[in-house]
Amino acid sequence: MLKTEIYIPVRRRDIAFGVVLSLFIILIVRFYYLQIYKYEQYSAVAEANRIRMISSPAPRGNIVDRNGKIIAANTSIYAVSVIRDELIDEDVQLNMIAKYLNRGEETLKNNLDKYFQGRFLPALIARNVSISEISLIEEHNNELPGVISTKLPIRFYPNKKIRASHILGYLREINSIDIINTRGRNYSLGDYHGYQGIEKYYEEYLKGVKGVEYRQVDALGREVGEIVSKQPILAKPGNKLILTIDSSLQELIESLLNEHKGAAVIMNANSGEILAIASKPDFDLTDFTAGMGSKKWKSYSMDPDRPLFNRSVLGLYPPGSSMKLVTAIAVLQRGRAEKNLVADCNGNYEFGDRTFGCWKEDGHGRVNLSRAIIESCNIYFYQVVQKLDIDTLAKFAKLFGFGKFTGIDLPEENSGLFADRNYMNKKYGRWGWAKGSLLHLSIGQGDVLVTPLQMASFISTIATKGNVVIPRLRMGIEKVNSMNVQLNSSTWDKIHDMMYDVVNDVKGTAYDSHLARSKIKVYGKTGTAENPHGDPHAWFVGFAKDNNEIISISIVIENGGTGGSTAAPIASKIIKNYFDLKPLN
Amino acid sequence: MNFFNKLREAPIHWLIVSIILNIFGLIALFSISSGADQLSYSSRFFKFLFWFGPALGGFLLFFIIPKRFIHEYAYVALAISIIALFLPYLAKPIAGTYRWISFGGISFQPAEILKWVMVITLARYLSDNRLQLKKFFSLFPPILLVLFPAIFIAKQPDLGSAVILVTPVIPLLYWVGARPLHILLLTAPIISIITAFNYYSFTCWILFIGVILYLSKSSLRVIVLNFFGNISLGLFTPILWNSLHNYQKERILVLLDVSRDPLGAAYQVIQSQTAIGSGGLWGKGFGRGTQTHLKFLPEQETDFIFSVIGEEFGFFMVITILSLFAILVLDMIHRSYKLSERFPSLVLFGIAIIFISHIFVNVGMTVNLLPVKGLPLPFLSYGGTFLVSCYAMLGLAMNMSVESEP
Repeated sequence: MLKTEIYIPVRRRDIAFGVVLSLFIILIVRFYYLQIYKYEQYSAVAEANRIRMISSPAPRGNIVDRNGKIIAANTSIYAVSVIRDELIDEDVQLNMIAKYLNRGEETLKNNLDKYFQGRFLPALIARNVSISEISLIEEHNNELPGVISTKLPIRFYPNKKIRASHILGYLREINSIDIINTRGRNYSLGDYHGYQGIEKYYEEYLKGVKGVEYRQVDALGREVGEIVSKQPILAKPGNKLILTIDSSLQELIESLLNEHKGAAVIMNANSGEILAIASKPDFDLTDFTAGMGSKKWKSYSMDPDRPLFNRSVLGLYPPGSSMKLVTAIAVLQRGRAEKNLVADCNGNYEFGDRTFGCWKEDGHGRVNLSRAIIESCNIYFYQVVQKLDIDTLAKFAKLFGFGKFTGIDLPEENSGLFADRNYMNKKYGRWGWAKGSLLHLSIGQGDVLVTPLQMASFISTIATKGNVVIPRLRMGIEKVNSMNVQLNSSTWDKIHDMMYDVVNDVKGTAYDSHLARSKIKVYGKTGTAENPHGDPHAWFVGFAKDNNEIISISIVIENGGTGGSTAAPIASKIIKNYFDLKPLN
Repeated sequence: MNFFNKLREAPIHWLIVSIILNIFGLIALFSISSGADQLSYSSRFFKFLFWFGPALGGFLLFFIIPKRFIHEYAYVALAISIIALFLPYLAKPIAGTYRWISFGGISFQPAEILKWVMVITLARYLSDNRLQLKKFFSLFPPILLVLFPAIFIAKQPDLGSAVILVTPVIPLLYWVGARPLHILLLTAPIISIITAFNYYSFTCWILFIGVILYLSKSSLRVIVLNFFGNISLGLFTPILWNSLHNYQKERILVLLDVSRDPLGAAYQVIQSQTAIGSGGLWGKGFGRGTQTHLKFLPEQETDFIFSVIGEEFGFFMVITILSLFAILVLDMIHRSYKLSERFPSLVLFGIAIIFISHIFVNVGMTVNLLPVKGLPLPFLSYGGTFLVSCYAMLGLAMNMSVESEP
C-alpha cells in the first residue's frame, strides 16, 4: 500500500527551509524592534499603565509679623470624599452621609459632580466637617464603602486681636479658568489659592510644592497596593513670609478705627516698611478658610459699608486741606513774591461770578503762608494759587506720587488722580473749565483723588526731605530708592516748621488733639474733605520723629467731620502708644 | 516492529523539545496563577498539568498505530471528522459559536482534529500513484476537498481554524512535485481580488504575474488567458463589491473577521505589544510582569501566553523558544525530505506546516504583525484539547518518520 515513493530534490527542501526560516526571522526582528529598540518607550507605557499618581497637598507658608509673631498659620479640617467606583448604591450612601453631616443631599451630589475626576479617584463631597460628624461617618464605615475621610490644610489666624483682613487677603478655591491661566503651576480642581492681598501677591512664595504618592492600579483602575520601588515625593511646605507689620501697632489702629469707616497707614518713612495698615469695616478671614455659605457671602458682599473693600490702597478720597501742603511747596519753590503774599480772609472770596468760602465763616483775618497752613485757611490758597498755573501744581503733585501707583507689594491698588491741563481739556473740553477749578485743586477738592497709602507715601517724602520710598509689606526685600524729590532746603525747613506748628501751635488745627510729645517731634496736617455723600471726610496726615526714626501716618475717616476733631485724636493715640510702648534702647 | 525499536529509531528529541516548550508554558501559567492569593488546584496551572496525562496518551496512541492502518482509514476518518463538525449544531451554541462538542464536562473542537485528519487525507490522495501532478487540472480536487469544510468552519465562526485547515494544501502540492507555476496560477485569482482594493498593489501584482507568465514559456493561449483573466477579475471586484448591499458586505466582513470588535482587538494588541516591549532583554522577572499581573494583558493564559513570556523573561527567552520551535519544524521538514515513501513524508510535512502556521499566526498576532485570530500557541497556550491534539500530531509525526521495514 505504501509503495508509492517520493523523491524530493534538495532544492525543494532548501526552499521550504528558507520559507520557514524567514518566518522565524521576521518574528525575531519584530521582537528585537519591540524589546530592544523600543524598550524605553514601552517601559514608559507599561509604567504609566500601572501607576496612578495622587497628589498630597502642601501646607502653605506661615505669615509672621516683623517680630516673628504668627499672623497666619495652618490647621487642618476634616473632609469627606468618595470613590465612585467603590460605592454600592450612590443615592442611598449620599443620603446617609447627608444625614450624618447634616447637609443637603443635593449639595453633596453637586460636589460629587463638580470634583469628579475619574471613577477611581476620590472626589471631595464635603469640606469643613466637624470631628463629631467625621466620627459618625467612621463609625458607619462598613455601611459606607468607598467613602473616605481626609484632612485638608487650611489657613488659621491665631492672633484674634488683629484682623488685617484686606492686606492678608483670603484664599479662594481655584476655578477651571484659573487653572488654565496658571498652567504649568500644578494647580488642580479643589485647590485653594491666594485671591487677594499678600496671599495673592506672594502666592508662589507661600504655596509650597505638592507631594506625590504612587499607587499601583490594575487594568480596571482599582488600587492594588503601594509601589515600593518609587518613593513618594513629600509635599514641600511653603516659605515663611515675614511682614513689616507690627502686630501690636496693627492691633491698636484696628481698635482705634473700629467704630469708623476709614483707613489708616503707618509707615517707616525711611524704609517704606508698612508698620500697620487697616481698613474698616473689615471681615473675619476665618469665615473664608473653609468655603463660606452663600448667606454669609451675601452679608459681606451686599453690606452698603463694603467691608470687603480695601480702603487703604483702593479707596479714593478727595484729600481736602491736606493737599494744601503740595500747594504750599509749589509756592515756596516759586519765588519771593508768592512766598510773601499776605491775604485777607473774611470767610468769603469772590472769584468771577462765584463765591468761594473758608471753613471758618468769620474769617482768619490777615494770613501769610505759615498761618494759612497752621490754621488751614482756604482764602489764602485761592489767592496764592492764581500766581501759579494748573500744570505747575500738577507737576508737584506728580512729583510726590499723586496720580501714580506707589508700587506696594499688593496685587491691587489705585493710582488716584490729580488733574492737569490735558486732563481738564479732555474731561470738560477746551473751554469747558475755568480757573475756578484751580482754586478747588489748591485746597484738595475737585479733580483730585488720593488713597490713604499715597498720602502716607507723600508724607514720608516730606519727612525725609525728598526720599521717595516704595511702600512694602514684606520684610527684607531690597530697598528700592526709586528717586528723590529735589527742592530748596529752605522749602523743606519751612514745610516742616509749618507742619510742626499745626500740631504744636495753640491755633494749629490739630493742637487740641494733644499730639505734641515731650521727647519726640510730631508734625502734621489736617484735612476736611467735602464730598457729595454726606459729612466731610476727616484726614490727618503727619509724621513723628524720634532721633533718626520717623514714622508717617495717614488716616482718613469717612464722613468723620473735621480732621482736627476726628482723625487727629486717633493719630495722637497711635503716636503715644507707639513711642511709649516701644522698648527703650 | 517492536515498540522500543520504533522508539529508538524515532527522533526522540522532538518529544524532548516539545516537553521543554510545554514546561515553559507551565512556568508562564504558574506565574499568572501565583498572582492570585493562593495557588489552588482549580487554577489553570494544575488543570494544564493534569492534561499532560491525556496528552501523553494521545502521543503514544498516534505513535503506535501502524502507518498502514492510518493510510487505509484516512477517508473514513475524514468522513467522521466532517460529521463531527455538524454535531455542535444539535446543541446550544457555546459563547455564541458552534465550535465545541461537549460531553461529560469535557469539550473539544472537531475542527482541531479535522486539521490533521485533513493532512492525512491529502497525503493519502496525493500518494495515489495514478495522479498526474504535472497537469494543472489535477490540482483542483485536493483544493476543493479542503475548501468546503474550511468555509464551513469559518462560518462557525472560527476563521483561525479555517486558515490553518487550508494552509497545508499548497505546501503539500509543492512538496509532492506540482509545478510552482501552476500553484501560482491557482492562487493568482485570490491575490488579484485582495490587491484589487489598492491601486498600487494591484499594479505591482499584475506586473509581477505578467513577468512570471512571460518567463514560464507557456503557450500564448495560457499567458493571455491568465494575464487578462486576472486583470478583469481585479477590475471587476471593486464594482461587484460596491454593488453589494451593506448587510451583504457586513456578512462578508464578519466572515473575514475584519469588522469584529475592532476596538477590543486594538486594545488587546496594544497591551500585548506593551507587555512584550517593556520586557526588554532579560524581562521583568518571574511573577513581576505588571501588564500580566495587573490584567492589562488580555487572554494571557491562552492566545497571549507568549506576551507573558516576553514580558517576564525578555528577548532572551523569546529567542530561546522561537529557536526550539524552529528546530522542531525544520527537523520535521528535513526528515520528511529524507523519507522514501510518499504518504508518511507528506503527512510529516503537513504536520510541520500546521505547527509553523500556528506558531507564526499566534506569535505574529502578539506583536501586531497579523490580525488577532484567536489561535493558540502549540505546547504553551492553555487548553486541554489543543494540548492533546498537539501531542497527538507529534506522535503521528514521529510515527511517520520511522521508515517501514522493507
